[in-house]
Amino acid sequence: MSSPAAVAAQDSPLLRAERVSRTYVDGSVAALRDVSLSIAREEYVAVMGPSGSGKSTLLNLLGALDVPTEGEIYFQEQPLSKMRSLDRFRAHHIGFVFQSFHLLPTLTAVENVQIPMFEGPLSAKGRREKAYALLDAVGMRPRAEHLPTQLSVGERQRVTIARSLANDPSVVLADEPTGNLDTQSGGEVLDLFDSLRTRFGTTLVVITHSAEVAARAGRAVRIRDGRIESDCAARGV
Amino acid sequence: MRFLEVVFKNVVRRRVRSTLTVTGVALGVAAVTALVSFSRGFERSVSEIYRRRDVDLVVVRAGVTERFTSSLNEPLADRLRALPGVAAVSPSLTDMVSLGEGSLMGVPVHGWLADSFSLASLQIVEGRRLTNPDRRAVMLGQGLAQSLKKHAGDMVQIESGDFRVIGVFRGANIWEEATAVVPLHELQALMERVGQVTEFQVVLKPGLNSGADTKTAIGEVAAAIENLRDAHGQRWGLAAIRTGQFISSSTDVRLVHALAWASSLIVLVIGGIGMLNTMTMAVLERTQEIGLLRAVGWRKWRICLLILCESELLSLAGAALGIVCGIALVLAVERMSFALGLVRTEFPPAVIAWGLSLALAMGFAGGLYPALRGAHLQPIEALRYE
Repeated sequence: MSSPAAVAAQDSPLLRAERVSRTYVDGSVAALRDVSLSIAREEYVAVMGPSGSGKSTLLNLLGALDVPTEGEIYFQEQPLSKMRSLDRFRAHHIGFVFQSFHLLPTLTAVENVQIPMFEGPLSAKGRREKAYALLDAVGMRPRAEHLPTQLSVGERQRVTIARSLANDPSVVLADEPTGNLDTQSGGEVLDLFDSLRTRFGTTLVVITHSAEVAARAGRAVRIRDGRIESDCAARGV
Repeated sequence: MRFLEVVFKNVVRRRVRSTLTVTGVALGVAAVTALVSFSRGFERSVSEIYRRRDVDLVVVRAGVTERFTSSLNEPLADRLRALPGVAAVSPSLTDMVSLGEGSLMGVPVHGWLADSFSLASLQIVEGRRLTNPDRRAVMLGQGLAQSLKKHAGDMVQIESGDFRVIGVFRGANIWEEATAVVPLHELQALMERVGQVTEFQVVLKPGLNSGADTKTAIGEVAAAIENLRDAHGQRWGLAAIRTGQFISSSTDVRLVHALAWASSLIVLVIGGIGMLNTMTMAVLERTQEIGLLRAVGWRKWRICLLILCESELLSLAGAALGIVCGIALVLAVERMSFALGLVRTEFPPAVIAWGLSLALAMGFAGGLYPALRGAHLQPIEALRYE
C-alpha cells in the first residue's frame, strides 16, 4: 500500500509555475507577466499563442533553461531555485524537442541519442543498447548509423524525440516540434507523441501554432502578451 | 559510445579544419624536433673530436667559461703525467688567427707537441704529420685547405708569419676540418703566449676509463688534478672536467642549445595562438551544439573537458606528424653534402618527449580559453545563437 507521502506526491502537480515573470533588457521588456500554471503527471498540454507572446519563455522556465525574474517554478513541489544543480535537474527530469532539432552534425543518429545519457548511470554498452531501443520505438532503427545530414527533416525530428527520452524524463518539453515539417511528417511526429505517451506515460508540454496539435492535447493554454489568456480542455480549440 | 569517441568523431568528421590545424602544429613540432635534434647532433659532433682521441678529462683554468681565454703553464703537464691513473697528457694552445694574408679571419689554430696523441689521432690525406724538427710548419684541415686552395708543400701566411703546409688531414667533422695545427712552441711564440697553453687533454690508464667504477675512478683523478698545489702550497686553480661535460658547458654548444630551446618557445607561442584561434572559432561555430549539450544537462566541466580533449587530440596528431617530418628532415639534411658531418642523426627519447610535451602544452594553452568560454555559455542564449 502506498504511503500518504507517496499518495500526496502522486496527487501534486509535476510542474508548477507560481506567479512567474521574466523580463529582459534591464527589466524594460516583459516576456512573461505573473503567470501561474500547473501541469499534472501524464498530462498533454498544448501552449498556444502568437509569436512573441511568451510561449517559449514559459517553456524555457519550466525546463530550467532560464530562471524567472520573479516567482518560482516547482518540480514535484520542490522549488527549482533551491536545487543545487539545474544541469542535473535537466539531465534527469526534462527531455527537450526543438523545432530546429539541434542534432550534433558529427554524430550518427544512435550517437546523438546517447548524448544526454553521459550524465546518467549507464555504461557505454548500456547507452548504446538503450539508444537502439529508443530509435526502434520512434521507427528509426534502420537509420541509426546515419549522420543528421543523411536524414530527412521528419527523420531528424524522430531522432530528436528519441534523444529527449534518453534519460526517462518526467516531462518532455517540445518547442514547435512540427514547425519545420511538412504536413505528412508533422502528422507522423504527432502520432509518435501519442504512441509514446501511451507506451511510456510521458508528460508532454508542446508549444504550437497548429490547431491540429492542440486538438490532440488534453489541454490548451493560450498566452498573449506574456499572460495566460485561457486554459481549458483542448477539444474544439 | 564513450566520451573519447565523441571527442574523436568531432575531430575526425571535421576534416578540413582538423587537417589545417594538425598541419600547423606539425610544422611547428617538425621545426622544433629538427632544431633540438640538430643542437644535440652538434654537441655530439663536437664531442667526437675528443672521443676520437680517447680524451677522458679536459683541464682548464677554473672559472673560465670560454675555452680560448683559459691560460695555464705548460710545465704543469709533467705534474699531471705524474699523477696515478694518468696515461697521457697533451698540452694544447688554441687561438683564433687570420690565414692566407687575411683572406680568412678567426680560424681556430691548435698548437700541439709533435709526439702528442692529439696529433697522432689525425688522419692524413696529403703530405705528412708534424715532427719534432719541423719549424714554421702547419697542417691544414681538409676544408680549410680547400678554402685556401693549398696543398702539401705550399706556403701559407698565419698572422704575420709564413708557414709551410706539410700535411692535410681529414677531421671528424666540419669543425675539425676547418682548423689548422702548428707546433705548440711556434704558436706560443706567434701569439706571444710563451709557456702558455689553453688546456691539457688527459687520457686515463686503460681499466680506469671503462668498467663499472669508471665514474668514481675518473672523479678521483679529477679531484687529484684540482688539488695540485704550487711550491707555496697554493692550489693551481685547475678545473678537470669530464669530456662530455666540457663540451656541454662550452659557449658554442650552449648557444646552439639555447637557440633550439628559444625556437621551441617561439613555436609554442605561435602554435598556441594558432590553436587558440582554431578552438575559439570552433567554439563560436559550435555555439548551438554547446547550447544543446548544456540543455540536455552536460555539466560545465564536461564541456570544458570535451573542448580541451579535442584541442589536445589535434595537437597530438600534429605532434606525431611533426616528429616524423622532423626526423625525415634531419635524415635528409644529414645526407646532403653541405652538412659535412655537422648534422648527425640524434633522436633520443628526450627529443620525442619534448616534441610531444610541446604539442600538449600548445593544445592546453590554445584550448583552455575556448573551453572555459564554451563551458560558461548560457544554454538558452547558446541555442539561440545564429
